[in-house]
Amino acid sequence: MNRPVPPRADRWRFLKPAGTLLGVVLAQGILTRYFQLFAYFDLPLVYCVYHGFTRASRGAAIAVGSTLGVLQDSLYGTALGTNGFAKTVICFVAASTGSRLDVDQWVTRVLALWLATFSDVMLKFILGVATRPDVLSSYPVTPGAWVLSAACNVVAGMILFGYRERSADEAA
Amino acid sequence: MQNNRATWMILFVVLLGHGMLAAVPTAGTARAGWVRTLVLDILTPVERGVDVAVRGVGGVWNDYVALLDARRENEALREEIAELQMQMARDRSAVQEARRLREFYDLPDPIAGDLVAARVIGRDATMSRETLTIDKGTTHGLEVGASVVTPSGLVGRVIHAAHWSSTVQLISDPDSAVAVALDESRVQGIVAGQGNRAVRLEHVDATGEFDVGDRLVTSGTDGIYPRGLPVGVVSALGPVENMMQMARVRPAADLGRLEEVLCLVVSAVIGGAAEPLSD
Repeated sequence: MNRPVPPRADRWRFLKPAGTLLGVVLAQGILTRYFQLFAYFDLPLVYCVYHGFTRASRGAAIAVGSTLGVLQDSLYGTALGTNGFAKTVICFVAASTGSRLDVDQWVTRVLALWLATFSDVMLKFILGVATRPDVLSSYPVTPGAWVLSAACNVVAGMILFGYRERSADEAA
Repeated sequence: MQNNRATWMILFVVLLGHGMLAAVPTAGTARAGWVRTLVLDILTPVERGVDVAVRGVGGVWNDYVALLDARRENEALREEIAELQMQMARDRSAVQEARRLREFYDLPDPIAGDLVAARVIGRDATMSRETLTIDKGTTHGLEVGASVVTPSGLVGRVIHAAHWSSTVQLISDPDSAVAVALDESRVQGIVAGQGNRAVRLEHVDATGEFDVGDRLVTSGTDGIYPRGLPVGVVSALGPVENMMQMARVRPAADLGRLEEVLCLVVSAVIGGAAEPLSD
């Protein structure tokens, strides 16, 4: 009994999302290398919210958030699991709420990106309290840096959403 | 309904996995080290390619456009070389004397090993971490724990070495602590990372005297960094807490503008062997 052979395009369909995830993490590292302002951006986090809102598949959201987090942890030397945990939760929540909220409204997007930034910091903080209290005393992120980071993420997210809408309009 | 329950179950398992990895960092690093190596090995060629392309564009500018002040700069550099050559001649006899004394007392060389030059090809992307990616790895002889320096001073240490690249923890990383001594008085302390390329001198005994402008070097007592590497200069005195003094320190190496670094392949430390450390 022979299995049906998928068409050539289907066989390689995983390459595009895999390339996108690698590209997001790479873009973050490379841009930060040349422009220090990008240290305040968290492009993988922005992509988690974007993916959750635009795809709305919770299973895929778990995979995307988890993969982005592991890539981030691996590339930048953070304890493995830290970003994986935070990004998985955020991507899953974005996908779960995306179908219930009007995500085409810019207010919703701004609030979501803002909340995602704070949730990311809080989730890592909570994970730190639960797992490595010795590291907690050195947690360096100040409220001012949070706000700046949230603002940067909102800008990056709105550009991403805007680009998607423009592409959709051109396609239509 | 069945599908919904399965999704929640997958989420629970994935989060539990991430939580366990984060909770047991040492075991996690040992078991999951291949994940870091794999990711670094995949991404390094791309980062290196971008670095080469950017350098190519920058090279055109530097080689053809930005040469207007080259003659004046050349003359200034010639004068500086002459001064440094005189300084070197004076220092050479002191070095030879120190070497003779070291041999006489049978002391080990404080900084033994080879230097490997590496280019910075990536930088940590988040506010809470301070790491770099460099384009040299285990195939070039680098190991976890290797000290990373510039001619100006200490940069950090290798915390993960893949085949062709490594992750370097800067001394300004919040998890970094370097045992230091004041160059003149030999008062001991710890230079702790504060994030955002800032470091602070801590755990200095209240009786230890130091002032703004004093230079700090590695003491070698932490078993991580070799003795005598410049770390920074005291830039502002801080409060005394629990009979311990603190001070703000300006790092000797410009941590925000690192392009090339040197890695000590074998770091032998007086008073204890340098052991690879887990993150």
